[in-house]
Amino acid sequence: MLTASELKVGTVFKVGTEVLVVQKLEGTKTGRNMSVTQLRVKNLLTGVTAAAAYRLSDNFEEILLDIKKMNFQYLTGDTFNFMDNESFEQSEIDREDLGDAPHYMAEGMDVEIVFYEGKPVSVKLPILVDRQVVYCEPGIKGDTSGRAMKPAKLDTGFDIMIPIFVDQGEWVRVDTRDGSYKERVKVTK
Amino acid sequence: MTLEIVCQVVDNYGDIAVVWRLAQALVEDLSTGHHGDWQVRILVDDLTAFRALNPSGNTGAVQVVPSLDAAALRSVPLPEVIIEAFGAPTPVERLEAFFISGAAGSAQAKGLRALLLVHLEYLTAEAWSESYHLLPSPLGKPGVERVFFVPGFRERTGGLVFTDASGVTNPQGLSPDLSRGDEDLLITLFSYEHDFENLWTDLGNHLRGTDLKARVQVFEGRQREGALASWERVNASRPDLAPGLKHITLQLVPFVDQDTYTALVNQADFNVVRGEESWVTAVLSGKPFLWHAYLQEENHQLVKVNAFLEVFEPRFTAEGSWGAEVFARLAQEFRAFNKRPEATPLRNSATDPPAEHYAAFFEHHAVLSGVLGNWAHELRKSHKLSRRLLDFLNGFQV
Repeated sequence: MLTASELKVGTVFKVGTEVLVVQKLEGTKTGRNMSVTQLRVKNLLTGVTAAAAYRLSDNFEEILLDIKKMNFQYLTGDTFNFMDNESFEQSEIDREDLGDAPHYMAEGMDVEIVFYEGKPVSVKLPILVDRQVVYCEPGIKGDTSGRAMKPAKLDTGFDIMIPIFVDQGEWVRVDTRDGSYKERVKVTK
Repeated sequence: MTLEIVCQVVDNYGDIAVVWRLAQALVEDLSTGHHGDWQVRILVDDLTAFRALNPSGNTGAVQVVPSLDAAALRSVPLPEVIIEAFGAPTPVERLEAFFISGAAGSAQAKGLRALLLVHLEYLTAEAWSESYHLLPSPLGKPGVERVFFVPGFRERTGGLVFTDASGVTNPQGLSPDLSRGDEDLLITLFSYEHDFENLWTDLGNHLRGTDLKARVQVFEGRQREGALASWERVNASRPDLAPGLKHITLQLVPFVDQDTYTALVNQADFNVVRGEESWVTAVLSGKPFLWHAYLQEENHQLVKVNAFLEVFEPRFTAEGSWGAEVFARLAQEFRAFNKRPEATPLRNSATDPPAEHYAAFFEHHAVLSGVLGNWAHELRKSHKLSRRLLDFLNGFQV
């Protein structure tokens, strides 16, 4: 069983006969002796999305899912296209089903696609990904403390705060759970 | 049809007090004939606690059933609506029967869209109360829907739990010793553990050199030890305050039932309150008050306090710059009263030095009473939770 506290974007769970996937976590609020969470969920059978709230202690049946490694090929409008590098089978997932994953995915990147009954429903990202800084203000030499931060844009279009010593064009390691900078990395092509 | 409220007595009687008030409010609204024909029932795990709130034993039109008594539960029919108050779980066997009844189409037979399970949240002034209120919480049980019902001060929330009868300010029925006498300032104290040295000091300074008298009614409960200890200490160690302190009388008030407590708050000039039930009672009294929020990890209660101040503030700033000044002083004391020192055990303390002051409540009493009196009047007109709940149920009928 899965509790509501374990629900993450992309989690597929069953409520009665309905199979739902979490599209967005709207937040968790703490009451006096319990917490509640608000989600946006999509019914995989009907395609209908809806807001819902649960007590964190509520539990659900976990669904067995298939996970396949695929490569992010390209984006068409709001549809993300993936290909299995071995079978060349293609799959598409809409942006609204990917949560924050588009912040960290660039074309050519390998990711894990989650399937429910043969249908792609979400993507599982690694906890840490390496992405290139495509824009930021120039850094200040000498201050490598990492405490002073500045805004930057990644090659995925995602805005992130990075230490001021990191320069445009450099690669950084990002935590996909919260979008935070972890470290500067050297990428050899 | 029946509306059943499930309650678990956790601590301080707070939960059962709100539930009992809600049940009475529902009966009050149903008696107008505008909300359909519902029977109101309470399931409670601790009848002793309930009897303490209602010593007469007269529950009027509200049926009260012990939830831990399986035979008693089986003897009452299943309801069409279950309200799980503050996370209190419906007894398992009863909930299973409720689901089976829902799947069998019993709701439709009664003209309802579905049987309804309502998760009644704790009162909060936070903005999220509006986004969570009436959010569905699907259970996947055919014929049964679940929804969040979130009490609040904001417009798009469930409102506040109170009865119209609690707005009666004539304290008829109060014993002579509890009724207002010839004091000029009547104060009630009902909080969590706290050192009230600053109350005695500030009140004494306010009264010094005047002919005014004050009576402080200290209820039985968690705040009494700290109130008395600090009173004795101040009297023993601060001879400089004696000219002011001699104007103050302390009255120890035993545990009283809910209606008596409401009457005492309504007749007082200033109330120190706590938790949820007495907090709402104080707000609706229209009198100045200081609220002690339920203590939470990492001073999270300050989030609740600041949210309340956010809702409170416009009532003052609408009065202009002087209103803003008064509010600023008030807000400072609310925060000081509720902040716990860092790295201390999660408990209120009757010995930690107090940080709040009370002069603002005495100096601006007339202003505060005006603003709060208007707000209380508006809340009573538009924010009655029982009415909002019954209106919601009306929309549940096919």
